[in-house]
Amino acid sequence: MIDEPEIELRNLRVHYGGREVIHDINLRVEKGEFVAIVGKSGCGKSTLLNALAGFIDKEGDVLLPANFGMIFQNYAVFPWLTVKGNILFGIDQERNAGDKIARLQLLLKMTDLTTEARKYPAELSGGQVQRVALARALARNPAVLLMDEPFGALDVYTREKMQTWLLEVWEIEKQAIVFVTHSIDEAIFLSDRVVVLGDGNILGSFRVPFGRPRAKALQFEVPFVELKKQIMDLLEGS
Amino acid sequence: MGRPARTAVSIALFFLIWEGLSRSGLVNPTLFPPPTTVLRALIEMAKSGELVRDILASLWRAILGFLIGSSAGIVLGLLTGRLEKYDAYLSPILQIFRPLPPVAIIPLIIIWLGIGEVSKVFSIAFAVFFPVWINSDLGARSVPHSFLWSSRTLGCHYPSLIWRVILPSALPFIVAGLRVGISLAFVMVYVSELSGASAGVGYQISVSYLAYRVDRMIAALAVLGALGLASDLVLAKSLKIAFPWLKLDTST
Repeated sequence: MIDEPEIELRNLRVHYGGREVIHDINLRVEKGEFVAIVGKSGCGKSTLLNALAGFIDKEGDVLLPANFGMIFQNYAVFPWLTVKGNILFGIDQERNAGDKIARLQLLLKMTDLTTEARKYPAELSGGQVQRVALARALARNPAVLLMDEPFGALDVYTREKMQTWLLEVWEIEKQAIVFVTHSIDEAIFLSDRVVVLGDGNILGSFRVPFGRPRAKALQFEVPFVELKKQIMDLLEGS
Repeated sequence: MGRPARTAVSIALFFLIWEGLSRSGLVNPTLFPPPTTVLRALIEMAKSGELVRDILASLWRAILGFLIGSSAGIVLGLLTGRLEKYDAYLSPILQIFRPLPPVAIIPLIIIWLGIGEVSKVFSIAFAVFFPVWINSDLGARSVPHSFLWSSRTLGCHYPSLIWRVILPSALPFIVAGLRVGISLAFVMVYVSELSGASAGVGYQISVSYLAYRVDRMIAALAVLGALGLASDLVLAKSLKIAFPWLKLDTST
């Protein structure tokens, strides 16, 4: 018996100004699967994600749980709320105050932001702000996380720390994740499967054969480099 | 020399040159009284109780007009900036009134509302409304898509989206509008008190003009300027206390 997928796109098309920018895409993401989407700038990665989330008009069928979280490259953390206020934003309508506080404390601990709870985003570093965005998205226990180049604006050192940290959090929560990035290394290191997008089409899909947990040294090993070369060749041929 | 010292020197020089010029015989001191004479006039106004009476009358009108005009400006700006229906109905009409100099409507307002307090407060509110409305509208239009999309995934929708996300996101624009509005409020206080008033700083300038008391005119003008400056400072300080992130967030 085949399990129901967590996310499914069937014949997804998106038009911008009369031009088709996403062409007949079919994609299936299983429960708890981490899928990375890579592609050159302007190939439609973010458009695909925004169409999947229902933010822009589209044609075709989309199966996505109503309770999903989205994380943007520009953070989209509210500057007028403290770290605590941002995390509570999505759950402050809940009646049980005890549950709310327990969830907040767990997320603050998980994102290593307990001492920053009363600070405003402008007082935090880029990595910390992105952790606030993730904690806020996780607060509602989403079944799916959509991440649009979440570490794209961070320096290399912070980016690598955030990748390791994201995997640690994901090991606990185990949502299905669709992670858009232009970095092939990042896509392979993080995901179970890398989907390659080119000019609004899926060019190929590569299963990542490495076990978990993964160490950063993995990227210097031959199988990693070979997989990266295959993806690069596919992208360069597009 | 530090900045405060330079400022002190600059102010001291300004008053010294003024005093010297007025007493030099080159100008008529009745038409151009020295600052010491203006100060004496100010003390005389304070002792007679006129100063407090005029300040209170003007402040009350300015604050009430500012509150009415800015509240209406914020509410309508958020609606026209964010909701197509309100934009289509209201913006064309408001845009017709916007280029009118607020001073130009005063004769009409007096005919319609009389010369009492209502017409004065209305004129002030009218002047304050437009910069606050246009800035609130612009701020509401400038809310990043990612804020709106995030809010949706976090279960926040209209109408609570307006006060939970759109209003705070537009706040830096609204504050800019409020600061323009408060200076316009004091311009309109002066103009509206020129006729049909029995108290107020503008009224004081008007009666001093009729009595040919230039020293009292300058004293009242200085008070009006000081009131405008103090109000702007109080507004800026209150906003910083109420919204501490405004001074911290450099991205806006």
